[in-house]
Amino acid sequence: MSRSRSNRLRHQARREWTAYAFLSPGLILFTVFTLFALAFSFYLSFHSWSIIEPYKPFVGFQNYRDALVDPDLGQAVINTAYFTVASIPLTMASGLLIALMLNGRIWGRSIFRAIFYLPVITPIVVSSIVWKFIYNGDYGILNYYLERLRLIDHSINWLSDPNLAMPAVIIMAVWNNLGFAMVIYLAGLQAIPQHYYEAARVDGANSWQQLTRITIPLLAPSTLFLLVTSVIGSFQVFTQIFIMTNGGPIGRTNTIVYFIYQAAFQFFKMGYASALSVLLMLMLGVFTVLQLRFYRIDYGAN
Amino acid sequence: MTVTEPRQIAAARPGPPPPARRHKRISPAEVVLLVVRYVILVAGAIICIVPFFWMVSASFQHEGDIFSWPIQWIPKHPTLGNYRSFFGSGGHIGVWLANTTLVAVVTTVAQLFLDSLMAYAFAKRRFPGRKWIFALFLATLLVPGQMTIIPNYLILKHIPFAGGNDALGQGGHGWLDSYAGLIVPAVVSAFGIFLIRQYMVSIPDELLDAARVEGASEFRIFWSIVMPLCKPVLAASAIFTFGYFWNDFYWPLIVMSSPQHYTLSLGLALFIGAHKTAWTLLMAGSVIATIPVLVVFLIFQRYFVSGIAMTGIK
Amino acid sequence: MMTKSSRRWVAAAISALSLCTALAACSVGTKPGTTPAGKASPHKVSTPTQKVTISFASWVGDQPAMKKLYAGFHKQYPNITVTFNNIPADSEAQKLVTMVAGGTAPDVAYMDGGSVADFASKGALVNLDSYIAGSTVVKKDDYVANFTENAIYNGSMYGLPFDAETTGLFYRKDLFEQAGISGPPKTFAEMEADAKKLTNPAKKQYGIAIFGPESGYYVQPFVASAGGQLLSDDGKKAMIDSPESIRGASFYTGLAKYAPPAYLNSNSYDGRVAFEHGEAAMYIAGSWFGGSLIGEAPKIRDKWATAPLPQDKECATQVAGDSLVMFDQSKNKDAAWLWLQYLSSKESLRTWNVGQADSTELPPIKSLLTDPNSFKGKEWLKSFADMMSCKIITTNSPQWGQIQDRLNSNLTKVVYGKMTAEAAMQDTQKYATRLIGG
Repeated sequence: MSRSRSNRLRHQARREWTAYAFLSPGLILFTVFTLFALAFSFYLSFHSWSIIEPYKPFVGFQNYRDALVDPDLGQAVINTAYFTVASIPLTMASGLLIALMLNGRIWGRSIFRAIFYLPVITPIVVSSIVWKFIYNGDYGILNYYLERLRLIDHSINWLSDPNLAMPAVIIMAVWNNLGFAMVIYLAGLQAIPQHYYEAARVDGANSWQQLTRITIPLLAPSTLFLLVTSVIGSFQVFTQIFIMTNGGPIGRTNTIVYFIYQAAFQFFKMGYASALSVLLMLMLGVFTVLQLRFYRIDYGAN
Repeated sequence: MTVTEPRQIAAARPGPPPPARRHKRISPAEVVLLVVRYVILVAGAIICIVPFFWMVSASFQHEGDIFSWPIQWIPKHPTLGNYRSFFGSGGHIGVWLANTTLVAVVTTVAQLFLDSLMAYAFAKRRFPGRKWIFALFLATLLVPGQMTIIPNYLILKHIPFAGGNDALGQGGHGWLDSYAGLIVPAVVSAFGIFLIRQYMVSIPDELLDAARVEGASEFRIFWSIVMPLCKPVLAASAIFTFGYFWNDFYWPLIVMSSPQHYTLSLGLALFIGAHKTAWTLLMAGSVIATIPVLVVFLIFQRYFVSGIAMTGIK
Repeated sequence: MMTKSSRRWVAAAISALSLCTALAACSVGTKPGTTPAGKASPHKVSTPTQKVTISFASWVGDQPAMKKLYAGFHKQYPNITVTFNNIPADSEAQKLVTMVAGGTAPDVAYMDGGSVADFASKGALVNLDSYIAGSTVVKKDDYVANFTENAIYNGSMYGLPFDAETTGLFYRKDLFEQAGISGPPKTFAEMEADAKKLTNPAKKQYGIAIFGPESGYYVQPFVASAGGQLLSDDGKKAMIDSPESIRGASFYTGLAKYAPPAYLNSNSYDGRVAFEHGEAAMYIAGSWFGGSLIGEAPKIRDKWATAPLPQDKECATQVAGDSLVMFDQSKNKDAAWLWLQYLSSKESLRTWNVGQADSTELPPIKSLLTDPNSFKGKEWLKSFADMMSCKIITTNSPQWGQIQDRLNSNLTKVVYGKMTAEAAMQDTQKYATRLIGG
């Protein structure tokens, strides 16, 4: 008895050791390249630095104080939250819908999948040119069809109206990212054992019940992944929006990361940029922890 | 749940499960559903393809036509001139393509392997500190990626024994302006680890325990049992990783200086001047740049097929 | 894309960290002193006797004219090899900052004039006064004063202007004819009247394109023309809310009611389609705009013309351009100077600006600007050259970037009717005073 138990313990210890071995390459790289950068960003957020000169006076919490009283930054936080809350559910839902439709045997499946993935790989420069055509207030395609369908009676200036610019950008972002959600869900759908559907059908479940009782719950790991990475991504969105609206009108589509860039690069205020980054990471960290707690990170398929 | 043998075998074949009853005739409701499905797909596809279509069209146009009004979706005066400039003399696109292919392929392969290794540890192995280390890796996603660029630049510059550096990393230029500088920092990604881990939790533990009881090493279990079951998520990861590194701009911008090391995105960015962009050339270059990513997608998406993965075999 | 001076390409954030051990820069360091301006003693540079390689960062290295210039240079100085480090235009400043921070700065660079003061004020560039004094090729007095504005910091030349442009007026002759207007406006009043006449929203036609995101930039010539200033000449005092400045700003923002609403949130690069499609009959931009029109809209080639900006009290414009600079980290300063000097000779400047058929830049020296041959085939550029001595706004302060950003957002609010021009200028004045004192 005791010998097999000690064998088992030895096996267990060895297996645990292998887990660490598996993790070592990542841990080393992480320590060298990321942790170091993080630590120094934190260090810099308490200093003032123009990057080009070595002069780096200590300024305590001044950078943080400046950040918290800046009304434009506050607006950017609101904009980013608006963008996040609106675009993520839409993206995930449409991605799921398309994935479900393209999962079964359907003619042209591969081609459709590729086409729905195209927005993800179309260069942002190209997408922005075409979407500006679409949204153009005077000659845009969207206004043209809306007027034809008599849904509006005069042209709408999508990108230059302070209240419409963000919705316009959100629609474009959903378009841009649903291919990504589609791929995640397509992969996740393959992890659901087919015999579950079999058994459900035998038990008399219809398609809707199969969807809500089997598919969606078993896609939870994918959904969690999408949720966490999308929130992180949308808090860091910048080019996608800026290239369409220059952050306007009147700052209504500015995002937090824009201010980080501006501070670091335009104004040579590296310390301030670092403080902004730290604040952003704190915000994101809180949200991510909340999401993981909510989904209980150990959630596995049962 | 008891499943009879024949049904189980049927479920193991790729494709949707056979219907419980054979219908002789498809009901009108199903026809309507099918039509609705196709309408949505076609409408969505049209919206998704428009900018890509414009890009391709523009790559065959002259500069004077590209922004004319109304938009020429089909070029009225098509030209091959833009493509000819790329492949003619003085064009560097061969070099750019070679560099980008090298970086993207090596990084993707490395990531697929290393990320899976680590995902497996997080998904299927219990060890002290598991939650904390995983959270730490997730934390790297929170960093505005750009914040790591200058520090990483400096780290690369001071890698000991590289690029003319001594043991303390002084004197030379380290891994700057080299392929190692582009690839090494990128071989592990928290994103990829998280993605693959989420998929791996769906693999039944019984499968792995059975193998452990038989004395298989962890690595063997990982490589021979888990990885084949993960084909769909590995395919997804390959698509994302390849696409990301194929199009990456900022990291090559910072690391590379010599023209012979430039990647495609860097090279194409040179066509964007301060106030004048060579649009038609840029569009031709972008079409060339987008095709490999599309090809990779088409190749790997065939793994998104039911039946490759879980069947609950005991 | 915005104009050079107001465009800053946001790069992947540059969080600057320095490796303490590597750079020994953990110490706080000392604040850089200012080099007193004054007569510089000539520094004579001799041809190197051994082989030397210098690096030249730019986004124009691949252009045939630059290759031609290098061929001539290498022939004259076979011992000096120039390696071209080509960086995309929008990312150049960001990459240069990274290189300086990492100690790998190039020897020389071709950079946007607006960035020179940023780098010079932080000690990254070499003061060129003594080199210029010792050179027989570079003639300081031949440079147009306005065009050296960007290259001067603290009274010394830190850059050599290589190409330049001014801001002027583009207008659609055909639309003017239709409205019965005989020629371009010459005064503020005429411009407003013309814009009003040309505006017919039902037909989607408007008098002039105005862009909120760049309002803080394009308002400047109008402030100058009204007799105002934004900063004092030494950059230590803000004068944004003077009556003249407010007058200029009110005029400029007042034109927004004759501007196509669809483009109010666009910029002067993306908004070019408004002019090309005839939605805006007038367009304020630098000479680069002509290049876009010629290349992308050949069908309207004979339908547009250029004119100096309309004046209030005196003629005014704004300048932009690119300068050649030398980095302090260079280990081969003499060889680097020889390359800069070669590029700045009259012949080279002629090759670069006049010789390139599709270049819309002006040569920065008087001897070329007053030569009529310089405008063969580019007659429309003359309006821009004519403004070379007009009044400009000087913004000699390292904090100007932040002040202009504030001015941009305030004037955008005016354009959108959320603020009066007066309030906008007063708020910007308060902000600027807080930043620079006085």
